[in-house]
Amino acid sequence: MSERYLRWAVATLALIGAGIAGYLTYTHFRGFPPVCFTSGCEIVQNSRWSKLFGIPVALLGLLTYLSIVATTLVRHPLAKQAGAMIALVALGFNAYLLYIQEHEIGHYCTWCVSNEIVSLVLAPVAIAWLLSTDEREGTGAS
Amino acid sequence: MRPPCGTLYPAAVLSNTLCGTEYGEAGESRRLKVRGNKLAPLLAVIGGAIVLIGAIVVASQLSHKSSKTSTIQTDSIAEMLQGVPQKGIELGNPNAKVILSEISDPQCPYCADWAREVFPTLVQDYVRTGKLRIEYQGLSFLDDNNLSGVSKDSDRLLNLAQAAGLQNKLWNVVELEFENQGTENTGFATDDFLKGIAEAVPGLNADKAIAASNTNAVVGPINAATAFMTANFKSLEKVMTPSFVLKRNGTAKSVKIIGAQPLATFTDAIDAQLKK
Repeated sequence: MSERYLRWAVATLALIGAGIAGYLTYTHFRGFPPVCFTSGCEIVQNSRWSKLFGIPVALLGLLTYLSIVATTLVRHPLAKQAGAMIALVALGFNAYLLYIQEHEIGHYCTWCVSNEIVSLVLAPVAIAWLLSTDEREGTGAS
Repeated sequence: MRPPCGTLYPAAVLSNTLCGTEYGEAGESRRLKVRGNKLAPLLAVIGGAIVLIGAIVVASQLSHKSSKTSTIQTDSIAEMLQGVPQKGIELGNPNAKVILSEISDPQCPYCADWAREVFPTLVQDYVRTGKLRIEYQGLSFLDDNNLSGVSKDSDRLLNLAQAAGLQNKLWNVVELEFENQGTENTGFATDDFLKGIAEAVPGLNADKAIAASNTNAVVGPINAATAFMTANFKSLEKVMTPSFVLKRNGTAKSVKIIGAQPLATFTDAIDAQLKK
């Protein structure tokens, strides 16, 4: 797949993730529970794990995804590396949050799980993007 | 990188290149170099990501380290509530002009934040002055029935609070439970923990309260709290803890405050009700 399509795929997936994280951030600051099919969202959002050093995890997720979107706007090998690294960190942290939901909270937030799926897809696409060659750059990763 | 057909290249390059295909030892060397050039940043990215993930996970674990303590931290809760009338779930003047009902789960960390950051000022400025009465509508929904071992921390904490309400000391227990709140569903509400809480409340018969917490005596107020929540928010899925219902005494019209909002949100809303 061409570098251009991979760039678009990364940006699109990151925007989907930003949308989910943005919604959770919005509900957090507005103080109402997210629309949810189970009570898991409220329980997870109310848990102490929903914050890291006082910062809502949803807000961190939003900033993370927006950072990835930003890297797709810059045509430079370092931007690709930064985007891929952030995507991998997001995947790792989301895996950790999934573990926390299973083993510490005992409930799943469907929005959080959706975000975890997005990051699961995003990470390999971002790696493929990193390895792809942009004709304007010369080699894709240097 | 493969040159497209028809591209003009220096002779040194052309000697190993034909329409985008590289031949010979130099071409092989070039391919290996390009592959190496791609692998190096990939490895750097993966390595950096692993380090960052590790750092975040360790930081998260440290920031959420259990706050379990062997001794109950009482701080100034007894002093804060000393002399304030209590009756069952009520705190303050029975004829207060405004009533604030708190819907919370004893394991909810945001409820504990609110208890520490907002509640003391409301008690000092509004409850002690007879303007406001606060009612506790305690719920138990954070207990986890999916984990092995089945944690019942919320149930146990709530039962003890309601049992203390039978001796009109509910608020001392509720605030002490928030002050000493442990990590959710870790089974921190042990018999010793509950005993420590009960014994830290001046004027509460701890043994009697603990005994009552295991009886049907506490079921009535717990069911009433669930009914209150349902009447105001329809279902558990539509309420976030802590949530509050504020109204003038004797009226049905109410204002809802959702979440552990800052002090000003409460003082503004209470002042508005007092001015009516």
